[in-house]
Amino acid sequence: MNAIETLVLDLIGEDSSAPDVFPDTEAGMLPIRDSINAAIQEIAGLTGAYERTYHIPTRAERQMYRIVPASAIFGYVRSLSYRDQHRKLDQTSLTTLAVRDPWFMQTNGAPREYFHVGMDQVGLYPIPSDTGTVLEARCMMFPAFYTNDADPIHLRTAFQRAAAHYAVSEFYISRGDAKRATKALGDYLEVAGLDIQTPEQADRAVMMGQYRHGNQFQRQRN
Amino acid sequence: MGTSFNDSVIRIRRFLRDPDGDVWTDAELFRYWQQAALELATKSGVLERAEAHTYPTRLTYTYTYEWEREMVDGDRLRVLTQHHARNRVICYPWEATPDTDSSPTAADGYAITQPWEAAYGAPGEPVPMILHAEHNKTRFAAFDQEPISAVPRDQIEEDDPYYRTHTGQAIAYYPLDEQEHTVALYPRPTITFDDQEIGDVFQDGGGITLFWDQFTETADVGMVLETIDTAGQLWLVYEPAPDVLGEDDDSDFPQPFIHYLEASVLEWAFGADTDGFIPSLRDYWKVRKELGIAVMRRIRLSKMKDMEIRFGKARRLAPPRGPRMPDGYPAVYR
Repeated sequence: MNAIETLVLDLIGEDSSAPDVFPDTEAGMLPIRDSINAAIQEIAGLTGAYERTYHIPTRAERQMYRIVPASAIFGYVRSLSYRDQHRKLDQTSLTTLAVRDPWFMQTNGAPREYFHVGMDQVGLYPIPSDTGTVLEARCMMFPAFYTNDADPIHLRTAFQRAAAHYAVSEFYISRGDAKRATKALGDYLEVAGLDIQTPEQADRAVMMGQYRHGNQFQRQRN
Repeated sequence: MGTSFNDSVIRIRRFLRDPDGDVWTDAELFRYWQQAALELATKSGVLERAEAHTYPTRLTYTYTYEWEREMVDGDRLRVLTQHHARNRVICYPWEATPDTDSSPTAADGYAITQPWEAAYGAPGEPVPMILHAEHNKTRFAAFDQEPISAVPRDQIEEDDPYYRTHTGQAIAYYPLDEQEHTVALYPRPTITFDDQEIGDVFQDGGGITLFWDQFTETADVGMVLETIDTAGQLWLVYEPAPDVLGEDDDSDFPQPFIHYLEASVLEWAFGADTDGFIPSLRDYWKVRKELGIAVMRRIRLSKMKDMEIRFGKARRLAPPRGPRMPDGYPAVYR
């Protein structure tokens, strides 16, 4: 029984040292763990807190690549880059490419841009002309379910407490107590900071006017 | 990728407090599951598919009278023309004229019943391409690896009176029949048959791609590559409207979103006018469902977070710079 599960049992009035309704076995803790796993994935999806690097070895004449991590569930690509060249690929979209280069599905070369396709694929533009170059993708992912105490919990402590409230909410709703369940759901949103709509700090700058290349250090040096 | 209804029903029944199906049957819950999948897909817009459609479309059945549709399953298409005045099917417009007419309307080409026949005789009508049954909104379309635009049929007809028989490289597509879910390419591309089978076109690595030197043949290394052949095919990226047919069918939604499907099912179950009608529980699950829709929308928007969005003057691709001429060129003789 990990810390989140202990907190859940305490909140629902179980004796966490000797639980009788939810014994500390795989079957006994299954409903609690199911709820906590759902909360972990939801918080990870909203905050983007679970990020992993996925390596994509390019193949010549192959434009689209499916990303299927072995121990997580793919969300989206946050950044794609050539690690050896220290060069980042720009994100684009199918409609943008169609306007800028109607032959983007035939043009090949060294990829400069990437786009999302479908639920779990990423496309490159231009199409790689050689095989073996490895691209490094920083991806937002959903953690896989944890099934026992030894499995890691992929959440920061503050979010772990929120996950506990989520599980408490599901416990009460499974008992038909909508009032308590709604209260616990509110606690979950409040503790996780999800009620403020943008818990993840925005890191993009919106500029008006002409685009200027380079960073401030390059401009000073030049 | 997804989870089926049968994988979720035990959890759903736990929240319904009806493990034995005394109030809600599995069939009833499955109908709510189907409803929930459609609702969440259309409200969140998070689902997306990328598929290649063979050209010409390969059909299992074609039929002529509308009542025949329910007698066949799978890929089916209504062909030829129904002459409603006499409730019969005709191949050419002149067949609709009275027998006494001395100047019948000429046909523009052959009448075909299978799209592939257009390779052997120029058809007088547009060659239909049937879309996936779950196709809802197209997000991107390309034919033979070149993007094509969606254009209303009326506009094409106004710009080109011979659009039905005009051939060439496809630059647009237009809807043909909303019920049959068909589109046509404009102009009609030339059909060139090769030895490809359907399996070759839709080939998918499925598992792990083997490297050419074969030393990584285990199932735990390597990566999955998609090998959709888009040359000569209609490649569509679209938003599906899921139509879950079987209780064991995997949902289009990835596993992290299945809980939102379950919340919607529970909302429907507690909201239906049955013995299990409990409005407070219905309202709770409605809140959970709407929270899930907001989460999925947020994730969908987050996919574009790395994109550069600028207002004002657009950055243009730098034109290629040619060789620079010497300063003294052209030579000036003083």
